Amino acid sequence: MDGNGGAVDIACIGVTKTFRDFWMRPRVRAVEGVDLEVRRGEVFGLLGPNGSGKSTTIKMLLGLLQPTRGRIAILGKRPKDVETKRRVGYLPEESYLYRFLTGRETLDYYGRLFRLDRRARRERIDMLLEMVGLAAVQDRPVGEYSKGMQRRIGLAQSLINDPQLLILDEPTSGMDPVGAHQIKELIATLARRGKTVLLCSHLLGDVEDLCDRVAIMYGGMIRAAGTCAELLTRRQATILEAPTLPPAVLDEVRGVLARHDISLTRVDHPRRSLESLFLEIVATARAEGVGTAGAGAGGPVAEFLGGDPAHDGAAGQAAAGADAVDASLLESLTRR
Amino acid sequence: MTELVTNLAPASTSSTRAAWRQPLPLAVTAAMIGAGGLWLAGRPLAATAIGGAAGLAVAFVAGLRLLRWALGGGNEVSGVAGAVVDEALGSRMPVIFMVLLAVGLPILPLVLDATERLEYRLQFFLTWSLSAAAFLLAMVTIVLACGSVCGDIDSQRIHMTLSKPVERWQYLLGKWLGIVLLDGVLLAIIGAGILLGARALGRLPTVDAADRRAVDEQVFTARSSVRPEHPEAAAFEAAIAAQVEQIRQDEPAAFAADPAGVGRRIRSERVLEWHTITADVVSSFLFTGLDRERLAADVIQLRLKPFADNVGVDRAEVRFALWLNGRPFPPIRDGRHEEFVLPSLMFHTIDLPASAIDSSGALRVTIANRNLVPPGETQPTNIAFSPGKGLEILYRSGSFTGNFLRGLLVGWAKLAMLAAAALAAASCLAFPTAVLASLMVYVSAVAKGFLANAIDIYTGTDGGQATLASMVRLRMGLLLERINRFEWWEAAKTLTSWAAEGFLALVPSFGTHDGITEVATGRLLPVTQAFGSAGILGIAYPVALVALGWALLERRDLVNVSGS
Repeated sequence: MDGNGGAVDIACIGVTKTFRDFWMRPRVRAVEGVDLEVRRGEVFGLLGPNGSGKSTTIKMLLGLLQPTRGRIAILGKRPKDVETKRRVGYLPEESYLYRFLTGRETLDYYGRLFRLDRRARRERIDMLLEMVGLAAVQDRPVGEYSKGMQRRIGLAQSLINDPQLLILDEPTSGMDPVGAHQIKELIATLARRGKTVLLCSHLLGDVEDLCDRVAIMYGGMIRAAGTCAELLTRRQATILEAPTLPPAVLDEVRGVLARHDISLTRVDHPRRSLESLFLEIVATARAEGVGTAGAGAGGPVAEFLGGDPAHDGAAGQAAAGADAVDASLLESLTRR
Repeated sequence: MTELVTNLAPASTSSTRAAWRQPLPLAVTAAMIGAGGLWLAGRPLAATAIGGAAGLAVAFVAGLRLLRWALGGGNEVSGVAGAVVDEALGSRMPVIFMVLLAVGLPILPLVLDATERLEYRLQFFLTWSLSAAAFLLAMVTIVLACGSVCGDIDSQRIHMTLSKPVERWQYLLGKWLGIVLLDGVLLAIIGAGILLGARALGRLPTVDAADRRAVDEQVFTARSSVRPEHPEAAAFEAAIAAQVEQIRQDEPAAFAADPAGVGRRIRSERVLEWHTITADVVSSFLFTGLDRERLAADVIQLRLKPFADNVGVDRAEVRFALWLNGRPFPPIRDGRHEEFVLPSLMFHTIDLPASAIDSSGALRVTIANRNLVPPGETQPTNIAFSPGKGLEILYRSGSFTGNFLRGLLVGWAKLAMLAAAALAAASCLAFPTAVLASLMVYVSAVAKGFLANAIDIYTGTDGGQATLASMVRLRMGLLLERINRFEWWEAAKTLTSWAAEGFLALVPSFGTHDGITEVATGRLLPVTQAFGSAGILGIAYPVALVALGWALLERRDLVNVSGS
């Protein structure tokens, strides 16, 4: 986030989109007066229930839809500008793929659209397939892929051009928790490498884990925006965490608080999340060599994806070894 | 830690292995074994047919691999084009098409009647196979073009492509290029099959020596045609002008309404009169531009379709005598000038010696009516020839193969035009409507002449060869006249016909840009004409249509609105 001169990669001012019917009568006002600013290196979450205007907003950012009113600048240029698109990666809410193309052919197709030569395409595709864990099934038509595998190939195609700005619409939908976790790790790693990510999701936990700032939409308008800390911190209460306290010590704490006219409202043992339990079981099973028919575990973050891998943190260190994602998986579990 | 990647299938080395390719080597091997067996069993034609089908299939796969490789370079347009080819292969549609043709073509000679003249069998084979290939490819092109764009829009795959650095015109151009190249491969392979099939068929025994000569001189050839001029052109034109002038004076109102139409009518009457040979009039027809030095053969052909006036007599015979540049033909033998006796209403070809042409390259053909007097009549019946193809001189001026290739080029250009039209339709319509609109363009292009006549009959006007200005004047006059008379229904018919005429005016005529008839009848499709058609249909129309599609797509919101 820092060191990028505070560049604004996405700027929307008063953007409105009204869909018209065949007779040009206004039919649906999908987005109304949206102002948005996403800075370089930021992971920005766009939240909202179905039909709140998230996808329409994203399609306007990508130049697929023309705003009825308002202005949009992506990486400082018009969304339809071809030079802008060269630096943008997009994963739609569902992976719309050519069913008859194999995984490798799919990535090759999108690579060609970026004018990558044959060699560059081959290298990048090898790395991406390894990264998303589809190397073993690269020659199967994507029509035969499971939904999760299609999301993985969709994510890989969004990265083939090493984009500066990554727009991800529901990146973890249809994925098992392991895959979802890997994608989250990948997003975090890319953000550490200086990429800007616009994340659109219903999964509030994902957004909370990943995003620096969020905007919540409803009825085509932004109802709230800010950092997660600003929006979520309850200043009216305090949490202290300590090893399990014996009843006597607990009584003493109550006494201290009573002297300040404060009553203890809740005493409980923290619970680990179901996600962390699930991930731990899968990691253990993999360590024991139990087979599965799904996608592979995934590999290191592709080297060609720009930025400095030294900033990768846990994922970056893990990338050095063959057991990349499981190492990061276990490490992240220990942090929970 | 552990081996994390789970193998679903054994790791494979080939990067391209769409499922459709797997059974092919097996099928080809089986076909080859079958062909070998038939050959040994003394059935060479059946063996050639099956071997030919297998060969076509192999050539098809090789051609497509080459195409995929050629489109593998890194470029937006070729990228989109490559995906169209992959998509088409994945959908198996061209494969089914190939199987249809691969099975149909080589079997065709087997089902042809062996007692029929080989000349006619060959012409039937060429016409049928080329027309079937053109029709099937046209359908493949329309469905592929509409399906590709509409499928992308419906499934929102277009979002993935257009969010990449691809302009919408590049997207459409890529689609067009992919379809046109795929058509090119299909056409080239099927063309090779037809060419080899025709050559194989040409080796079959002929009915008689004349049949063999006809096969060589009228089918496996490319002949230019010369239409006759009036030998006294100046006097002929003066007579027409005088008659027009007479009408201008006698019927000024009728003349003023459509002067060009009057001129056309008088001319066609006089030409018909000249082409009609009565019992006591000898008609001459002058063919010029027949440079003896440039002729590729010693023989030229007089092709004619005479008809006699005696109505009610089927295939009546006509009887006439010929002179070439004033000398009797055939030359007088034993003091007799031999007459020709031919069934009427059929095309006949009479071989003439090239030596009869004079040094200026002119040949004057004189025809005298020698018809017998029918029972109950006092005069022999007239002999007439339809102006145009009813009487012409043909001479060899090119090779069959060259002509065939030019025919394929024109066919390919038609597909290119059709692909662009279908893409333009798909840019603004849903799949079923886009297919229907494209079919409408196809049918209009194929039957343009017929439809124009139908519209004229419907509205009671004569479209003819009028200029645009006179056409507009005529129709405006007609409309006002009908409104004046309160003939509202007739006026409405005039208005609706304008829409139809406007649409028809925009559609090219596939009849004008033919290729199949020329190839099948051994007539030269000149290089200039072939490339002219290719330029108009394969470049000018596609440029305009892709631009139209782009204008439509550029303004289209590529989203299905879910809210209400």
